[in-house]
Amino acid sequence: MDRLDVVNTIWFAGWLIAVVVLFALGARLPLMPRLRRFPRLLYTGAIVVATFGLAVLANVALVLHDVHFDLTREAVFTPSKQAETVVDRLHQDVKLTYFYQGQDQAGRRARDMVEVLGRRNPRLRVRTIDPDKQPTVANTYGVRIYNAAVLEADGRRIQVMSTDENQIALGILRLVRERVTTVCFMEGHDEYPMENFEFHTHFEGVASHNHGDSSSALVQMRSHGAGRLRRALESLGYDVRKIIPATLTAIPADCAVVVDVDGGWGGDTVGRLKDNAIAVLSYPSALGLLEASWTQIGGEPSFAMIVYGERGTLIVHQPRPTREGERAGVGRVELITAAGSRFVERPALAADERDGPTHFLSCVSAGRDVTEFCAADVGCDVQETLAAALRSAETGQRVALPID
Amino acid sequence: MKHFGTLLLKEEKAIFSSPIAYATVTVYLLLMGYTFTAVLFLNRTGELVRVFFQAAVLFLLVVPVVTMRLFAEERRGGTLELLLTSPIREIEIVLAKFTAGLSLSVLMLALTSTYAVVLGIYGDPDWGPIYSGFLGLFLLAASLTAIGLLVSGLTANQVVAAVVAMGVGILLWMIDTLGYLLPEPYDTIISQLSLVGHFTPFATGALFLSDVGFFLTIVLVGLFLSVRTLARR
Repeated sequence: MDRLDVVNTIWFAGWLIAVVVLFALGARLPLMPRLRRFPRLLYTGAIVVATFGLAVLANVALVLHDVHFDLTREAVFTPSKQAETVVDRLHQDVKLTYFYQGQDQAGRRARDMVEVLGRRNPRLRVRTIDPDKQPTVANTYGVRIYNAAVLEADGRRIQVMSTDENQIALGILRLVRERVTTVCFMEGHDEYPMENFEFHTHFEGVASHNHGDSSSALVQMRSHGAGRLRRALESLGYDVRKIIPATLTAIPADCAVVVDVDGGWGGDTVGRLKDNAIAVLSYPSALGLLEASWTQIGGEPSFAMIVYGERGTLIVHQPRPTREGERAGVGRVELITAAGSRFVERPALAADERDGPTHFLSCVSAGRDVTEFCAADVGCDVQETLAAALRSAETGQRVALPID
Repeated sequence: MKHFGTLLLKEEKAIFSSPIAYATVTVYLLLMGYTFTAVLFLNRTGELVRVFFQAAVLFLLVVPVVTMRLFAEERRGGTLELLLTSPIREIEIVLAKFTAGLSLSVLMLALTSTYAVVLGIYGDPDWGPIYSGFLGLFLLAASLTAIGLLVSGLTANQVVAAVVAMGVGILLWMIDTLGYLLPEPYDTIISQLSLVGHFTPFATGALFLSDVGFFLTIVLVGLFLSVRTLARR
């Protein structure tokens, strides 16, 4: 028992003496059976109202100085010290609605735990709901999963999926914090995505398979670290979002930290960056970004080319061959305007042509004219663009096309 | 309180000379024995949580049957007027009837404790929740007895007293489900009245002093208002 519990236990003893004394005094109030009907009703009514009023006040006083005794051997109803501290220090009203699964032992434990926490501080209002028994309430909150806590304060609302009171307490911290710190994860350039399914484990057994098996949490999969880092940061109260530098002119100002999760292609990050290049193409009424990268084997930039124009954006998506010899085709071209997004159909390759080079070789070997995207004029434009990009990289100056 | 002992003895004799007491205890023990056996063989765990909840629900039905006659019978037979004109304080009458009504529940609880003894002999139960569960059942029984006594003092008809007391008890037991439908802060206020909400921590071993205070408040308010009902002569 800490000092506060001892004080509150003494408070309870005092409370008990006070209500017993009040009861003894109340019992001495005259019954007044000989009063006439109306005065008697008034007299009795006043006494009844005063009694209920005193009873309510007495209970409110007790709730504000409550003491919890966990009588279980394993102290299963004792929340962690960290969670208790978070709840004890709450200075604003927080509503916690916990949706638990009645059949799940961890869910039931979490329910008991949040209820215990809710009684530590009147500012934390806890409600526990079994969606199987009260589906309407669950639908009202838009919750379709078990073992999730919905936290609300000052019109803000966050959801914490956990049966761990520490995670829920961290969620409360995140909800009531006054300053938001944003951590930005770089993506679109071979970085592992922060939104991977590291929490979604799939265990294939002889008889069946299951998801979310706790033992699978020990399995370290390639790229899982990014997702785990994101979750760890979120649980510590940071806002996390992804940025695609190729589509930005500068790192957003709200990014307090920028995380570059190495995709593990094989080379070190610095070395790989030396092999990469981004050409910025300026047109009279558009801006284009063209990225060349070694990392197109395996992970690759999100877009082969992107052009921001006055009337819309044109994106050349990467063709995505995943196995040697697999047919890649040509990158799809997406045109985004105010009217919406649509893909521009491009001439299809022949069945035996995998990509641009095989199309070119096929044309040469068959004696056909090389046309479309491998035509000589297109090749000249590409070469000239690359040459300009190289010259610009060497001189650090803008290079105009056509090159003199 | 010099007459309390005499009054209590009179009430105890009245209760235990009636077949209602024996029928009530028998039915209670039969149902509890079935529950204990079924839970023990199904779960094979040394705990009494489900037994406590079963006992609590049975108390909601059984206690009003015990308390229905405490005042209603005397009012119907006209003996209440005689009692009140004697040099005995009203609080003594009320406390004697309350203690007598509660004694039957205590007897049922004492017999229920044999299940804990069985668990102790054949297993290694967690005694903390068992002690708190019995404390919770005692406080619940005391609260229901106080409510039953109050209702019995308001009517001369025993059946009406039993049905109304049962209705009040069951309503208070499950009133927290109504709380879910109400807006803030009424949901909290209504949920705080729930008997099951205050009883559950006792049954599971998570004891709160505010829950003890809640049941004591019901007892004291019930007894105080029972005294006030004696003004209706």
